[in-house]
Amino acid sequence: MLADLQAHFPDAIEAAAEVGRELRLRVSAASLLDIALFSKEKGFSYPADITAVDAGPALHVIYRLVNLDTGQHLVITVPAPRTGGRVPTLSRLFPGAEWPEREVYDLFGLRFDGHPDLRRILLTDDWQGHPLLKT
Amino acid sequence: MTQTLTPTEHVILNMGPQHPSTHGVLRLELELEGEVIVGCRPIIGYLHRGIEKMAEARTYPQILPYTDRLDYLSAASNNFAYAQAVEKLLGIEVPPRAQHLRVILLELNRIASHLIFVSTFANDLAATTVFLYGIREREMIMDLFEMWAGARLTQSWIRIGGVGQDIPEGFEDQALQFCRLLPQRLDEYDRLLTGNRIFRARTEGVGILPPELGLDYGASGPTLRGSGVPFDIRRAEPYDAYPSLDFQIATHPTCDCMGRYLVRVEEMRQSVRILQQCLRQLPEGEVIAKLPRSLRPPAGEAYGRVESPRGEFGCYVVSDGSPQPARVHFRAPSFFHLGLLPRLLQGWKIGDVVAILGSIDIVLGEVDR
Amino acid sequence: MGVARPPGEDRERPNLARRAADLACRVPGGSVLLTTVDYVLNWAKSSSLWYLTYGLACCAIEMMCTAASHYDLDRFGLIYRGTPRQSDLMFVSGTVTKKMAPVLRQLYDQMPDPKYVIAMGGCACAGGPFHDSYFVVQGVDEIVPVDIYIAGCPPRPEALIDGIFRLQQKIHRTSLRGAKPC
Repeated sequence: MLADLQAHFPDAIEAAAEVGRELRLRVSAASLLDIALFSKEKGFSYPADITAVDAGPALHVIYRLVNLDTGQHLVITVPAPRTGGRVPTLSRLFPGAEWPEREVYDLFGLRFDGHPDLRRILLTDDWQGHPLLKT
Repeated sequence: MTQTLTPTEHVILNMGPQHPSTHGVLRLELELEGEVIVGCRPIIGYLHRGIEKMAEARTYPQILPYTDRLDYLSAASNNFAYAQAVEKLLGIEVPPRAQHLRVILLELNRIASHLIFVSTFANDLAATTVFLYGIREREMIMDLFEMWAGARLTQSWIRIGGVGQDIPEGFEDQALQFCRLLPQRLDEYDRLLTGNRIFRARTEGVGILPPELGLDYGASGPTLRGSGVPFDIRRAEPYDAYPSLDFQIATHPTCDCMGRYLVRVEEMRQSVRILQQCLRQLPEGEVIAKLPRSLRPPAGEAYGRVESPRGEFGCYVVSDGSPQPARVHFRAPSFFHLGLLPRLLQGWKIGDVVAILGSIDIVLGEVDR
Repeated sequence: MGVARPPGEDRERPNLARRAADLACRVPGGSVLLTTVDYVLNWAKSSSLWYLTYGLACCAIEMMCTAASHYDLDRFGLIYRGTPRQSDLMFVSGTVTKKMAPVLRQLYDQMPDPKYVIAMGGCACAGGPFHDSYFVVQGVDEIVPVDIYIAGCPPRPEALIDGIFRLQQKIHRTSLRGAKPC
């Protein structure tokens, strides 16, 4: 799979590693949709999880797509700016991405372009701030 | 001669967050056209306690008791997912006896959780007797937990590296006695519920979840297996003693509420099989791995996965080399199932809401974290 | 050693029962009548505490288990009601979050007097293990007056039943005549 990805997206993959049954990639927000669509067609169609990590200078959005036939996990990290960041939504490809993306928006303040219903999900609607950002 | 119907508006009906059948503090805004549901907006967050944020200010062992409070009906599963992630970061092996003991705890939790499911599902559909019977059986499991871990509900007994303590004397006999008793009681529930005409009318053909829809939404566990998809992490990515155990994955092809109910009942029977095997083939040895006094996993990330009674419960831990993690995230199956709920409820009537919501078996503790 | 005021009576309003009780105090033999009436009323109140099914988190499961087989709350007269309009008692069982707090207050206000609140579990008593969370109310007594606190995480069913007994004792210490002794 890594070879496939590197062949199709020679410039998009900024970093790659295979750890156990995980194939970890780092890609930019601009290439995310293409890589996600390609991966879905290759069998990585199960949206196991979407979350984010405040990694100091940048936010890392972590996507976990699982291939249920082979058992391999594709873990895609997309760096985004800590404030004012925007990443394309995966919810058109994976309906199960809708809620986790809302949660990332709620807790980190990252907006997802094209999301059908981007509003807070866990906190109250009038909450100020995004708690999971590190101070 | 056709007559034009009186134009009607859609009515918004609020269900929750205090409601006997929402299984916790869930609020559903149901948009109704007459009795038929045309839209549903679940509103969650009423139990959001900020556990993921608090975990960043706690050491690795200190986080463990918080994990119990996520899916509180099956505390050991949460403990396990978190412990597995940290063990991957630390690169430690869990001793064989501990692995078997963990499986015993996980399966007992599975039975306890499914008994609550059967009890509350039946109670929501007004079969109160089954509620009382289910809790009666569950009390036996609570006694086992109390005997071993000291706590009934939130045991915090699966620790990083193994379990808290070895099983006490008399535990094995009492557990095997429970294993002999449960299948008979499950037959009793079958006689009361599964063949009951009212129960069948309310659950058969209701709340159809096509398998592709479930997979698109990240559904897992009995919710997905009730649609015929044989995805079980105990087989897909086996952990602890499961590779050496003989059990079947329960699935049902009907995709309806009855299918999901039957899957859980069958899972209880399979859990009894697993328990009997584990109790009879417990290896000797340590119950917890040797760990340093202060846990400082090397920088990195790991994902622990467990087949909880609700589905795939995952724990994603990012370490920066310090005693506190940089990030802990919990992947809760109920979160994804609730996202699926609006699609599931579409087109059904108000009376079916309770059946469909009950059949996907959510726990708000893990949804809201 | 005064008499406890009935919980929930935290505002001034004409209370005919109170006036009748005060009157009875002044009549010779009236205090004996009053004590009997008090006893009967308190016996009735404490023996049929209908509680609201208000489960928030893990403690709710223990509350359910206490209400169900093996422990059984029904034998003490406690029956669960789904609506606050028909309940006297609210077990706050579980963590109260800032999102849930207004809902809790609304439910409490909807309960008719005399009403009682039992804070069950560490979270309801004082925030519990979530003492430094940005979204947790540090104890339900920040929102509603609490009669009995039951510690535990979650408290055992026996602890819950003990709390109910203490509430019943507290109810027996109340009187129609309020705080003024006869």
